[in-house]
Amino acid sequence: MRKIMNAPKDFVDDFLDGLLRAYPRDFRSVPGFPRALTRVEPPGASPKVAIVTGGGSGHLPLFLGYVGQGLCSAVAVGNTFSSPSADAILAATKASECRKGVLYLYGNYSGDGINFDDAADMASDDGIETVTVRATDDVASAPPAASGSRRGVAGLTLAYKCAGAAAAADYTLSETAKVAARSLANTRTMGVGLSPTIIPEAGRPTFELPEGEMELGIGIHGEPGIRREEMRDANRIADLLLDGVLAELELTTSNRVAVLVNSLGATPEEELYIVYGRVADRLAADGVTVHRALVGRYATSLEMAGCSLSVMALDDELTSLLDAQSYSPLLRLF
Amino acid sequence: MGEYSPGTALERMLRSLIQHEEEFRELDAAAGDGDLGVTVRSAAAAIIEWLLQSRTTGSTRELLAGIAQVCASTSPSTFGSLVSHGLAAAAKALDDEQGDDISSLVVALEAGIATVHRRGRAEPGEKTFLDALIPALQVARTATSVAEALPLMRVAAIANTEQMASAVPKHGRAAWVGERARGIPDAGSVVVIRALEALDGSDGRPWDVDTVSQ
Repeated sequence: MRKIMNAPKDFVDDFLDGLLRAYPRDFRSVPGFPRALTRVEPPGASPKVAIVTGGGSGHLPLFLGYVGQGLCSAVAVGNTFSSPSADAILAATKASECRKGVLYLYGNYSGDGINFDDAADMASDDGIETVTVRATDDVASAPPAASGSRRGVAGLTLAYKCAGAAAAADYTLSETAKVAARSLANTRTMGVGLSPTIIPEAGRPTFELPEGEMELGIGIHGEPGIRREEMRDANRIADLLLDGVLAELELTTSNRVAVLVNSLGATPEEELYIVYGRVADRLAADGVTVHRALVGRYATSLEMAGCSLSVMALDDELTSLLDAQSYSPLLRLF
Repeated sequence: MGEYSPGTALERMLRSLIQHEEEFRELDAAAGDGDLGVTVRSAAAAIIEWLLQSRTTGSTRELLAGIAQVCASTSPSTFGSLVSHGLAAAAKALDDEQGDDISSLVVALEAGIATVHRRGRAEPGEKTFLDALIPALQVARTATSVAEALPLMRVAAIANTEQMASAVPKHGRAAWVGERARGIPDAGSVVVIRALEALDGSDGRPWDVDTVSQ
């Protein structure tokens, strides 16, 4: 293992320290809670619905990179691939502007669910209203009949963007939650892994992948995917991902989509654009208009090589919310 | 506290779990995301530190509640959170007089398991650490002392975990791997087994992912 780090046990605290010092105008840690971060609110900001997210470390820019203007208001940060504590989530909640209520928006992982639910109970005791929406966009993680148990992956990017715009436009808590839920209901993701990832504290790859093979349907924690098969060229990989995603998206009522081609960490942008080119060709041939495309690193798994493809079916409201301005120093958005 | 000394046994168990970090990591990586070794090691180390610093001389109830708190703050992963909630519920089920006798053990296990069941939303037989805990509870009910219960609990937990190894998991990250996790014992159940082995002083047979998965 060759990683640039000090003591493995300090990996998360060390990167958080550097990140806070790199972007003092954008992020702040909550006093007494180094694992809870908020955005720096512009002076004179009026109270809006707050969106609090969180999850394990090792996925940058997910989750904390989505704290920003027109995005989430705060985040709770866990150890590598491990849920944040309920106390950190509660601290992120209380440090947010929470008079109009708080949306908990995060990926569907059991540890995160337990800790966010605990935080919601404690917040409720303090008179703070919360509503929870969990992302379940990864088609490879369960069959359609069990879609509620699927894991949340890169599709969260599009949900953060739409829900963040809704909150900024002064939607109520229930309206903001409905936007988040509809964004996710309209989004499907599938990934492919080309090399494993190494949890700094464990120091060993999470799986072995023989030369010339790829892991189809991989998640963002290095979990094994649905099947292994022979490595293919970029067009064939793009086809496999797009077929998996389109099989479940109803595009008859909407022929407008947003497309996200995401690096799982190590895969360079050049390769992502080759995938995007094929996806754009296929969608154009199907008469589908790509309203927005995002290509880059949005939800990663440390140094894993591979990519994921997300497609979101757009309606008029989601289109205008997606187009709204947003900013985080960790993201390339529009 | 009688001849059975929970403080010493507890610390021995925690040190044993730390020794098994790599086994937990490997089993978890085969079916899930591979963070279980780190979770268990860091929680066990933090509990030992807490025990040494607090030098707790309080009741079993206080001890369990304290350990639950350490787990929640140092290792809030799925496993760590469920263990924390289970221990907190076990603590609540005991009164200050109850301690290290067999009836207290059964009461604490019943409360802890019920909470893990409710919060984890997994059913028995779905290849989670409930499948080690529940058979252990069942045999503990038949025992007349903790010393008699521990080996029975260990044997029951191993038997059911081995039987469940051939099943396809239905919960957590392991469920996403589905068919490919067949043949691999549930990593959380193996943590329970290693804990029981350490408590009753027996040597565990190593669980090799490469051999069981073939």
